Amino acid sequence: MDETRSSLGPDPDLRAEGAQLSADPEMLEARVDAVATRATVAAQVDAAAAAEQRRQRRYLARALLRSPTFMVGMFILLFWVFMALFSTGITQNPTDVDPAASLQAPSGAHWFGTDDLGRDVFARTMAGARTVLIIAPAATILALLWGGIIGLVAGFWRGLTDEIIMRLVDVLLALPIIITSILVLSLLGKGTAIIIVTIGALFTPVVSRTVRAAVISEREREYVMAARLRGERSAFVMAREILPNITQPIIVEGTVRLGYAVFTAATLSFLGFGLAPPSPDWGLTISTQRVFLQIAPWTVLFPAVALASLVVAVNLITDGLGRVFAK
Amino acid sequence: MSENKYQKDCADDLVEQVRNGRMTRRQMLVRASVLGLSVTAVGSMLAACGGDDGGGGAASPTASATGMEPVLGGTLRVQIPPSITEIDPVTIYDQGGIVLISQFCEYLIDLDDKNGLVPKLAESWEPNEDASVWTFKLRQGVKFNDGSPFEAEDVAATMDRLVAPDSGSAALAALEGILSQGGTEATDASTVTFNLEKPFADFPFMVSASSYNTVMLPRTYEGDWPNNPVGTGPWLLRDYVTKQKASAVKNPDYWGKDAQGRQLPYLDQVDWVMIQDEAAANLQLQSGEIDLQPQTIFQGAQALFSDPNLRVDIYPSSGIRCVSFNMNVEPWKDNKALRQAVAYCLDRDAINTALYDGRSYLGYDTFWEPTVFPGSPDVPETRAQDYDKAKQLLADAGYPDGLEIQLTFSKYLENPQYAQLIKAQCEPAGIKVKLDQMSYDAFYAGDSDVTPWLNAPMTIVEWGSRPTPGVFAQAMLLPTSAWSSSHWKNDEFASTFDEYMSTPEEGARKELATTLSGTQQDDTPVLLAFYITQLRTQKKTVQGVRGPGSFYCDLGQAFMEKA
Amino acid sequence: MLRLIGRRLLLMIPTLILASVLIFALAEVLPGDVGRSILGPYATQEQVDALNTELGADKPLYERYWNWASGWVTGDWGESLLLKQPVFPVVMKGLGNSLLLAGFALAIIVPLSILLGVFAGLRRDSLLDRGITISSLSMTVIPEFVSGVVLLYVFAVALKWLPVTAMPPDGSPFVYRFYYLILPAIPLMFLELGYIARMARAGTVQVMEMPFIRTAVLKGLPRRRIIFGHLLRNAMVPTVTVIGSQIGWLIGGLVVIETLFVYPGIGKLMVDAALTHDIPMLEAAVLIVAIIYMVSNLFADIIVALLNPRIRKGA
Repeated sequence: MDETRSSLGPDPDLRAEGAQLSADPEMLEARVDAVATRATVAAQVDAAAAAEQRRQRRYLARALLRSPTFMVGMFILLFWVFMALFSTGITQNPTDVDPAASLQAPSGAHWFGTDDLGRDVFARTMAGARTVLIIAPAATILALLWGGIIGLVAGFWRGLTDEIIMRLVDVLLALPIIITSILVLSLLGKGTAIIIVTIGALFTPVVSRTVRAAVISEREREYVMAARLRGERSAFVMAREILPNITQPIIVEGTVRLGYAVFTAATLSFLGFGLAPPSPDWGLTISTQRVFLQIAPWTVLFPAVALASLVVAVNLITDGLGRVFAK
Repeated sequence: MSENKYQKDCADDLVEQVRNGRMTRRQMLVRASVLGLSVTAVGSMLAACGGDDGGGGAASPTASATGMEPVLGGTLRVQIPPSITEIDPVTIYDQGGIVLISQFCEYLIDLDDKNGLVPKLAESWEPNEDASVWTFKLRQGVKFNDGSPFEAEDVAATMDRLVAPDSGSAALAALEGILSQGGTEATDASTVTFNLEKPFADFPFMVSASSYNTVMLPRTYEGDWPNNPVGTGPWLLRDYVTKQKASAVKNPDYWGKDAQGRQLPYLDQVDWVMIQDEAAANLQLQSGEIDLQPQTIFQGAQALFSDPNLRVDIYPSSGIRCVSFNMNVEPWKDNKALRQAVAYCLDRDAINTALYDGRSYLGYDTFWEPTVFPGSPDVPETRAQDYDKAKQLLADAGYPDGLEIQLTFSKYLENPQYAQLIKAQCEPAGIKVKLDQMSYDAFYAGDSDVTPWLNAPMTIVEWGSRPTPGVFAQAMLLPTSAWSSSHWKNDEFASTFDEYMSTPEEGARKELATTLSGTQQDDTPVLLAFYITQLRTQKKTVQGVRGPGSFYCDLGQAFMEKA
Repeated sequence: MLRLIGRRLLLMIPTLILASVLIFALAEVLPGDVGRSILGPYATQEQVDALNTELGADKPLYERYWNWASGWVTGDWGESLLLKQPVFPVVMKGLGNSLLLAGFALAIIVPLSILLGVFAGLRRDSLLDRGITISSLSMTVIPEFVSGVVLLYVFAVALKWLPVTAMPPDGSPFVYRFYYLILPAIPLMFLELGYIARMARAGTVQVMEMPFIRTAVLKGLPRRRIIFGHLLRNAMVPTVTVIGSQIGWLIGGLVVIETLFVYPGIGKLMVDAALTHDIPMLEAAVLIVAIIYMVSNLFADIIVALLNPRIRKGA
């Protein structure tokens, strides 16, 4: 649900600083020195060739494989991806109702018990991964795309453009997220695609802030200066020069957003603005089965644990990535 | 009071029906109450019937309370949902507002636990020859809590206010075509005459507790009820915090006495807590923070059934989740066979089991359901799930390979579950149901020519309990009905219905009802798979809560046993 | 510094104006109208039309906005269209309740998370550090309705240790309210604790690597003095920024907790008002939350500036 947490990454203080800087240009001036010092140091690394980059990538891959947090997160995530793709053939049909067998406790026939309409909770919990694994990544990509473009433009051009964009971002961040979601959802209607767009739109202001902060720390560096002196067009400089150099913060931001996209999709479903039945979506299931918590806790607890495991997995991956990038 | 000739004829006819076994004594009592027959008349009718068939239906929940010595004093804590709008008797339309208002303001006629009519502010009533003019005698000596006397002028002013087009009245649509402005006349201080637009044999129900907005207000009433909580009821509003809580103390000058002549109400105080979320409300009931929940919904009520400290009373009721086929649009337009095909896909027993623990009454797509509305003719056909027949009908309808339909409903109560069951049960016949769930607000939003609940191709609409089939049909099955989601335009049905409503004589009335029921079931404008019984949950020590299981309940004789 | 604060305060004005316009637009695009919300689904169309005309809901949008905005600026927040009550006291009551809950949660979260974060940062990569990091990471992203439902089940239903509601009965002493707020506050703690702890940890780690701390260590200053004299103050910078941004979120994002625990806060008020087109109520609630969000951010920035000599000098 939270929009303002731009800084769950490995180097949160830097990004917190970025957010704070973006709030006020004067504070920014005060900090440019510090950023610039860091930038010059990094600029030397910049001089290294593409071969170095390849080697670095191999090193990153090896480091990730050795990171236990990353691997545990990956394992859980892959489990859910597998279930999303193949659970249909393995489990019972998640939408088969059997009123005569409603709210039955877990047993050999129904490992996780049955819900109020007599549907198999195990099947529904496994199939519940499907919607979330479509919505969350798609929404994240949209947010990265929109936020990336806005952040690049604002950070690169600065001046009045930056000022206007950042004021708009301020407005969106100041509005309570639930109000923003209702606004977007009622503008667009409903359905999976609309939920993706909504969450994408919700995350765009935060992503654009992060990207803008990263761009600001890059734009004064030699290679950008050089490109500008060569007379390259702004769009080219942004896309071909700056973007490749800020991929790491963008990737980290992406995994952070992915975790929150799962969170947000579930919350929207819970509040009745998201997916509709008979979808086995976890958030929706928790919301509709909540009244049975006392008499049939399995209808709620299994999807809750599933949802928790997925968000934790995404966060473990984020943490792993962050640690490796930081080295 | 002596009966007029018309009432006598009807009474004889009722007795005849019971003797022939076509009506139970209980059903006869309900009809007798509509006709305004006096206690002595009813007594002699019962004697004339002889024997006792036991009544039928669920056991009376208040039976356990009768004969128990009431405990005076104490505070009762009641849970209700928060009212959506300002609580004003004229405009309220939701449960939260209605349940609160009906504690402070009273109706001409009350409903008992079986939807029979009980005199309240009116002592008696009688129709003319064709039920187009009704004369009500009012109770004497009743005062509003502002000190002014309750008289016929107040009734006339109240009814005129309710049918005025600019008052925001929530009763206007229901009374339209039956009563209009100026139709209510104060003959003298204690006699009121209703001159109806058309004969309406069920009229007493329209000014009873089943017609929520018809509480009696003084002729001087000008709105702003929360700051001016006027009424004739047993309680005085002391504290009201919007959407959170309300509190009332007993009205020391209340006119009501119990059978032993004791002053009512028994309790000193009632506190209402407003909770929207059912799961949260149930938890509070179980933790003992609440004494009474006037209306409990089935989802999650299983925990209440098994709680040793709580008693869940089950009341017969006629609440429905009405599935309408919009006959203005394809594929339902002029396609009776297709509508019937869907009806034969439903396993009504299984739906009742899944949604209501098997505790509701089954319905067969007609309002004249004898188990729910006493005195109704037998259902033409008890529709059971029959896929062969459904497939045959589909072929007749021009869809031998099945089709895809869309079902629109609000995310409210058990609608989503019902929709999923319909979807699952239609699938085997080749009917694919696409579910279109909306928020409650969106479903009912918009002008009447665009609002989803009246314009979507197929809808589920939740209707609260109505006292007679006629009131339901008047509201949604006539070509002129304001709330017709099916847009059914059957002239034969409409003219028969008018005749039915002007025929208070039971035998002929039943004949007409048979025709109406047959036409409705055959044409299938709406699916009525069940009539929901209502639940009311209270602590085991809470006794004497009266009224049918609807939004309305009477706490005047409620009390709490000493532990 | 003062100039900076003044500038920030001034910038809040266009932000608020834009926000209020957006909210007006929201009520416009939502299906339905206020007349229908007031009269209910069963009213006739003529009745609804008449009421909309009476309320002026059929006037052009800019006219309605102007009428509302000129009233708001002069302190006349209007009446709720549905409840026919002045908006101001209703919103303030909701806000008070939400502030109490959020404040109670933050009063536990902030010291605890800073303690955990600094501790983890000082013993970097120790088992304790990893434990704190991973558990805080996991709790932060579990939606509050998931943890709330589980907590309700365990502590209120099964164990019966805590009440199921968030409001004590009328007439209870004020301190009772905190007892009733324990359960609703825990999901909020889950959400915030790990997050703020991570910020404190990251700040600590970074400061520990800075030359002046190394110098201090080399000078042989006592560890306690290093921590309290230098480290804590510098490590606080990112932490304070985050806390500032979280306060606004906490107040505006409480709707789920309020629903779950039946707590009459501003979040539920806001959502109800949005869905019923009650514009005066919606505007007041949302703008109050927006102002709190911006002011708490501003306060955080001021504290950061005071903590950080470089920024203080720069301004």
